[in-house]
Amino acid sequence: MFFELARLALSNLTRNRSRLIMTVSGVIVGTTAVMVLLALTFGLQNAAESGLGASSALTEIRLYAPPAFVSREDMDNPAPILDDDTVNELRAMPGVQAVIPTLSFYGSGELVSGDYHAYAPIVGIDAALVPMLNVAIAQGELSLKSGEAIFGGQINQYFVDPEASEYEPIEVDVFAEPVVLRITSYSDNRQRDFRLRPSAMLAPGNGLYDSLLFLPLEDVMSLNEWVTGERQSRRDISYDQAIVRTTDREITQDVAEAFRDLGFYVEDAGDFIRQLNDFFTTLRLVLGSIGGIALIVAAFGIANTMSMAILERTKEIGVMKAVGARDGDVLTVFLVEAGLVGLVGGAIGVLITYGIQNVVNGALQQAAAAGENTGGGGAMFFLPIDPTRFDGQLLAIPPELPIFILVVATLVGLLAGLWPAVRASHLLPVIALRSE
Amino acid sequence: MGDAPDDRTPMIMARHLEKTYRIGTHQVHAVDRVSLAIPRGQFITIMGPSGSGKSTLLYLLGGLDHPTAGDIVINRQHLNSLSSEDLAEFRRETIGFIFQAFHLVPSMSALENVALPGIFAGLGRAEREERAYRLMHMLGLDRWVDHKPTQLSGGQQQRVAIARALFNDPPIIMADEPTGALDSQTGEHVLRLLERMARKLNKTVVVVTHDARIAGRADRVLRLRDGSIIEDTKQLPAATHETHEHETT
Ligand SMILES: Nc1ncnc2c1ncn2[C@@H]1O[C@H](COP(=O)(O)OP(=O)(O)OP(=O)(O)O)[C@@H](O)[C@H]1O
Ligand SMILES: [Mg+2]
Repeated sequence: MFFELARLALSNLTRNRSRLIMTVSGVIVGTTAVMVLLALTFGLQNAAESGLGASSALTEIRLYAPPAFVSREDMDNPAPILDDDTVNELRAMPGVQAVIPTLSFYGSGELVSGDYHAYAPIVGIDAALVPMLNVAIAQGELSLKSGEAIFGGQINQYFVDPEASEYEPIEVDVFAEPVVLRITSYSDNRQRDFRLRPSAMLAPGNGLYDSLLFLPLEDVMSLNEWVTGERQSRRDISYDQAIVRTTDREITQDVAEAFRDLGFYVEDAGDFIRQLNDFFTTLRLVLGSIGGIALIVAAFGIANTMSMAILERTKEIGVMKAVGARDGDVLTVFLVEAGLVGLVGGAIGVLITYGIQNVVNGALQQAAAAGENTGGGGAMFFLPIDPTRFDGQLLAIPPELPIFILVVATLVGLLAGLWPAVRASHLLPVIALRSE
Repeated sequence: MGDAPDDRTPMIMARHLEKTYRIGTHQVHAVDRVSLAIPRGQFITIMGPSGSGKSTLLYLLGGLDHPTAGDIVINRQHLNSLSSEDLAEFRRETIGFIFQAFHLVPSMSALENVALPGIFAGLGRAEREERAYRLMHMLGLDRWVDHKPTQLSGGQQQRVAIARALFNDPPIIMADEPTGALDSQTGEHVLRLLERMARKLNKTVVVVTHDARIAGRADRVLRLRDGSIIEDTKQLPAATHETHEHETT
């Protein structure tokens, strides 16, 4: 039944070809505008994400053991302890590439170099695991022996002169100037200085690492023992943090979630990715709406065409009713007609967008190739993002996009045709038949 | 035309039927307190001057229009109580309409026009077209099956319309000036078809016409003036132009 009515609608559709072509053209313009703009946001998002993927941040999770008082609160659900056994268990979890447990220094670490002072969180790390840190270094080499320290990328820039009247960060060359770590005992405020030998200075711009000072695990243990007066053996050590690296940035959030479920406190770049996604969602909404304006104009075109068609075919509606058409049948015929206008326009719009994608991406790839030949992507200077990151895909069309566009175009047609179709279906047959 | 016990209930009954149009403060009684009963198989014509309400009455009886007041019972169905959906089914099953201007769908072939009621009856394409083809064959339209209405003469178009009216084999045929747009020869042809429907197929045939020739061959003639029946004449089926048995309401 519906099929027969749809066929009727289809044959009606082709009755006034020039009007059909004009109406469909409107939809084509609208859907193409929407789809190209959306494809652009997907292309930009891919570029932005692949740019991130290069940095290790997206495969990194920071894991914190809950402080001891939490474990005491709930006996049924003891908070996890980050000891060597647990670390090994974590290493065996799917998606986990490396787990680097660290032990924080309980006191405050004051760095002194001549007249200048600086503070840095001090983190103890198993010397054997240092190569796993997998961060770029600015100077020295990634290794850690007793008495040595790895400096975060920006520690050297934040020394200050405590005597100075105005705060002004001073840069100290930690490799050239002697640097001393000054610690203070909890019990009697005694102070003690350790001479630090820098083994490496990390490259700046590594976020979390920029302000950290890495010392060998055993050194931090003895520093802690000195400030607290409590002894801790290497065998039953419990770490307070771990740096976890995942195998793949796609899986990072899942791994973080799994850790959360185990009771650990977790920080990952998920928030950042979420923000990025939010940004692109907003961008998509904005650009989609701009394209949507063209689609709204097209909707008025469809509404107008349907109203005209119904005016022209008023008698026919009367005839259909006289031979037994229900209101719903008439409604279906005209709705299908309007929906088909949307669908056909949308389909052509999708095809055109694929064409545009080919042309644009092709041109981009050529320009990028030309840019490489002349030594630099200079041809793409007007783009805010490095064109080499697009991988030649400024316009990206995920598989759901054409389906989405077809659905939207059809819905636009249906909505635009709804009111005229309802009016047509409610026509009293006698009025339709007597109309001129 | 024997009155079998089943046929005693009139096919069409109307009581105190009224259709009033209000134009500003002015009222037009297009149909004014009309009561009538039409038995099954009767060939009845409705005559009267232009504007006397003939078409309005026909459309009311056919369920294409709503009366302002009064009751209509057709084929034992009380039209007032039907929903618009049931009314559509009633028209589909019970009435075949024929119009003066043929009212064929111009984009469809003759065959598709004849088969149109089948779409709303939920018939498949093959069955629809087969039945339409049989009807067209019966009406001598074989050659015109694939023609569009604009490629047909008036007489051919009207025969296509008649075939369409017969498609669902309804017990009632209603025609509004079916020969009005035809010359007398083709008109005669159409008239014979209508006669045949009543005489051979036992259909109730209601024809609105200005054509005295049609009236002369009908079983009964109703005359309207200003929306009211002023004369109701029954005549012998094979009657000549002299009428018998007058009856005036
Ligand atoms: N929609 C309407 N609104 C107002 N008045 C109407 C409407 N339809 C019909 N009429 C009036 O009702 C009266 C009867 O009209 P109807 O068409 O039934 O006459 P008719 O007998 O069929 O005339 P004709 O022989 O010219 O076809 C006329 O006076 C007409 O003006
Ligand atoms: Mg009339």
